[in-house]
Amino acid sequence: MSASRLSAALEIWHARRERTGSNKAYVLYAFLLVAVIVIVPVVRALWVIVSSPAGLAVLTSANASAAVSLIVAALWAGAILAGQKRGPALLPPFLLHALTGSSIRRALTLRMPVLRATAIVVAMCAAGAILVGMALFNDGHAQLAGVIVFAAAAVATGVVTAVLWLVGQAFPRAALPVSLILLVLAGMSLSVPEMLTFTPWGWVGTTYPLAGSGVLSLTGTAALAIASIIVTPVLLNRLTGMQLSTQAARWERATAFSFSFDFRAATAVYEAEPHLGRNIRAITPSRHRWATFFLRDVAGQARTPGRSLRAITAAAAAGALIALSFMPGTPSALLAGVAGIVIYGATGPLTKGLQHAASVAGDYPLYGISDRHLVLLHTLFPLIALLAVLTTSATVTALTNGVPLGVALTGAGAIGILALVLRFGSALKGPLPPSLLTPVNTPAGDLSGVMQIGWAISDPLIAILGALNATVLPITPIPLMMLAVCVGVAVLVRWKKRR
Amino acid sequence: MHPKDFRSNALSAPSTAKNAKDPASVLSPVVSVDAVSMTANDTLLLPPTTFQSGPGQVVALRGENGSGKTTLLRALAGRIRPTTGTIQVSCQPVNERDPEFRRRVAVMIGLPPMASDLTVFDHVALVASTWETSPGSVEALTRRVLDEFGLTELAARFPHELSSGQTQLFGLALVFVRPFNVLLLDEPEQRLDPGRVELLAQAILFRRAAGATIVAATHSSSLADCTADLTVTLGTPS
Repeated sequence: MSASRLSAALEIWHARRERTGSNKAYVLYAFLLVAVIVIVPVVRALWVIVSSPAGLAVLTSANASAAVSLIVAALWAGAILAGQKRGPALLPPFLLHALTGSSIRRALTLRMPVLRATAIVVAMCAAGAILVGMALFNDGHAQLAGVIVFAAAAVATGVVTAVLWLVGQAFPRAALPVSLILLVLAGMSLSVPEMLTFTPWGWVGTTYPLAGSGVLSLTGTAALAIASIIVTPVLLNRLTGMQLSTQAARWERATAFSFSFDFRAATAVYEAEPHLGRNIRAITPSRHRWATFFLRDVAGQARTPGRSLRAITAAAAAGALIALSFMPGTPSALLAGVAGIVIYGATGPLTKGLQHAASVAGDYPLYGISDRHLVLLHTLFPLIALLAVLTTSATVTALTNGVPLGVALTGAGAIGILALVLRFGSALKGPLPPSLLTPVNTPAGDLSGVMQIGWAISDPLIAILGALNATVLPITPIPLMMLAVCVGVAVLVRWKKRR
Repeated sequence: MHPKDFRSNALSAPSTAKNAKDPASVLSPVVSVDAVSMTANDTLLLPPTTFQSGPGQVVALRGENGSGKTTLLRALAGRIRPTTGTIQVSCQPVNERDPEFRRRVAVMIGLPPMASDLTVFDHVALVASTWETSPGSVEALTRRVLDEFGLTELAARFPHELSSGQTQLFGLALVFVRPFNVLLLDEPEQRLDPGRVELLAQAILFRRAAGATIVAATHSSSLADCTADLTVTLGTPS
C-alpha cells in the first residue's frame, strides 16, 4: 500500500521533467564524452602511478597492510562526520517535505537515495581495491584469488562505509566523538599491531593481497556488512523531518552555488557558524592597531575551535608532507600534490579575517583606515600561524627523516605563503566572468564548461602546482618564482578591479 | 511646482514637498547634483535630476521601483559615472579613490559585509576603533550607537543569529558609528517595524542636528515626512 503511494508520488515528481528521446541521447553523449575525456585518462594515470616502480615499492612495502587498515578507519570516521552535514538519505527539499510529511515509513521513502549512495561508495571502494590488486597481480606480487578476496572485502567495506555515513546522519551529535574514538583506536592499533586482529578495519587490512590468506577476515567483514544492511531501516526510520529538511536545504544551496562555479559560497554553506566564546573580548582598542586586529583574528579562531583545530592539523600535515617530498625514494610529486591541496584547505579557516577584509575592500568605505592597510592588518595572524605550524612540522619531519632542514623549511614556508595569497585572491575573485560563458566550439563539442571549471578551481590547482614546484627547490627556484610572479600579478589585477 | 521641491526634470506630474527649507538658502551646498542622468545600452536608468543640499539637511529621494534612486545614490558615492551632468560633494567632484572623500562620505547601499566570527558589539567596536583614538571613546561610542538602534540586548549575538530586521539595524549601526559629513542611505527602513523606523528617524535627525547632510532613498512616507528637508521625486524612466 505504502509502496504504491510512494511510486505514484515519484511518478508525478519525475513527470515534471519528462525526457524526450533526444534528451536521453544527449545525456548519453555527454556521459560518453566525460568518460572518454576525463574518466579514462584519470584511471589510466592512476594505473600508471600504481604500476610504476615507485608505486609498486609503496604497495609492496611491509607496512602496506597496516596502511590499508588505517585508510579504512579514516574512511569510516570521515563517513560518520560527513553524515553529520550531509547524509546519504536525502531527496530534493520539496519531494522530501511531501514524502516525509506523509504516513509512508521513512525506511521506504528514503530507500532509493540510500541505495544510490551505497552503490557509488561500493563502486569506488571496489575500483580502488581492484586497481591496487591488479597492479600487484600484474607484477607477480599477488595471486588472483588474493586480489578477488581483497576486492570482495572492499565491497563489504563500501557497504559498511555507506551505513556509517547514515549513522552520522541519524546521530549528528555523536558523530564527532565517535569519529575521534575510531581514529584514536586506529592510531593505537598502529603501535600495537595485535589490536588489528580485533578491529574491523584490521580485518580489511589482513585481506590485502600480500598479507596472506584473508578468507577469515573477509568473513568477518562480510558479517559486519550484513549486520549494517539489517540495521539500515531502523536508522532510516529514526531520521527526523527537521534533520532531513535542514540537510536537504543546505545541499540544494551548495549545489546551486556549485553549478554557478561559486565553490567558495558552496563550501561556506557547510561551515560551522560560531556559537562559542561570544563573551570573549575580541576587540581591544589600542594605539598599536596591528595588535587590535591580531587579537580580533585570534578571538575569531577561538570561537570556532573545531574548525581552527582542523585547519592547524591540516597545516601541520602539509608541512610534514612537503618535508617528506624532499626525501629520496618517496613519491615526491604525490606527496607535494597532496600537501598543496591540504595547505590550501587549511588556509581557508585561518584567513577568515583576511577574506572579510577583501569583502570590505570591495564594498563602500566603512573603516577609518585604507583598504590596503586593512588587508595588511588581517594578514598578520594567518601569516604567523601558518608559518609557525608549517615550519615546526617541517622541522620535526626533516630532523626525524634525515631531510635537509633548509630546503624543508623553505618549501614549507613557500607553500604556506602561496596558499595565503591564493586565498586572498580567491576572496577578491567575484562572480564568473560572462566572457567565459561564450561557447568554445571544438570537434569534441563545446568546451566552455572546461574553461568555467578551470576558472572555478584555478586557485587550488595553483596551490598544487606551487607545491610541485617547491619539490624542485634543491635544483632550481625558478619555477616557483615564476609561479609566484604570475599569482602576484593576477591578485594585483583582481585588487584593482575589486569594485 | 512647489519652490521647496526639487524634482526630476523628466517628471511632469506635480508633487508635494514636505517641511523643506528654502533651497535658495543653500549658500554653500555640500551635495550638488546638476542635470545628472544615467543611460546604459540606450536605456534611461536615471532621468536628468538636479538638486542641492547644504549642511544639516536631509534629502528624501522618492519614486517608484526602477525610477533611479539607487542609481543616483551610487553616482553620489562615486561607484558609477553619470552619463550627463555633474555631481559635487563639498565643492569637489566625486572621487571614490580619494581617501578624503571616503572619510567624508558614508554609504549604505545594501548591507555592509559582516564577519561570521564577530558579535554585533565586536563589529561596531572594530569599526569605531579605526576612527577613534582613545579606547574609552571607542567603548562609549559603540554602546551609544547600539543603544540608539535598540541593539544593546543583541550585542553578544553573531550575525547569523539575528532576524532580517535586526540585521538591517545592525547594518545601520555599522554605518552610523563612523563619522561622516555626508550620509547616503538606500531604503534604510527595509524590513523594519514602525517602532524601529522611528529609531532610525531619530538617528537621522540627530546626525542632521550635528550638521551632516543626508540623502536617503525611501519608500516610507513616515520616514520622509519626519526627517526630510527636501524631497526629490524621481520619475520612472521611459
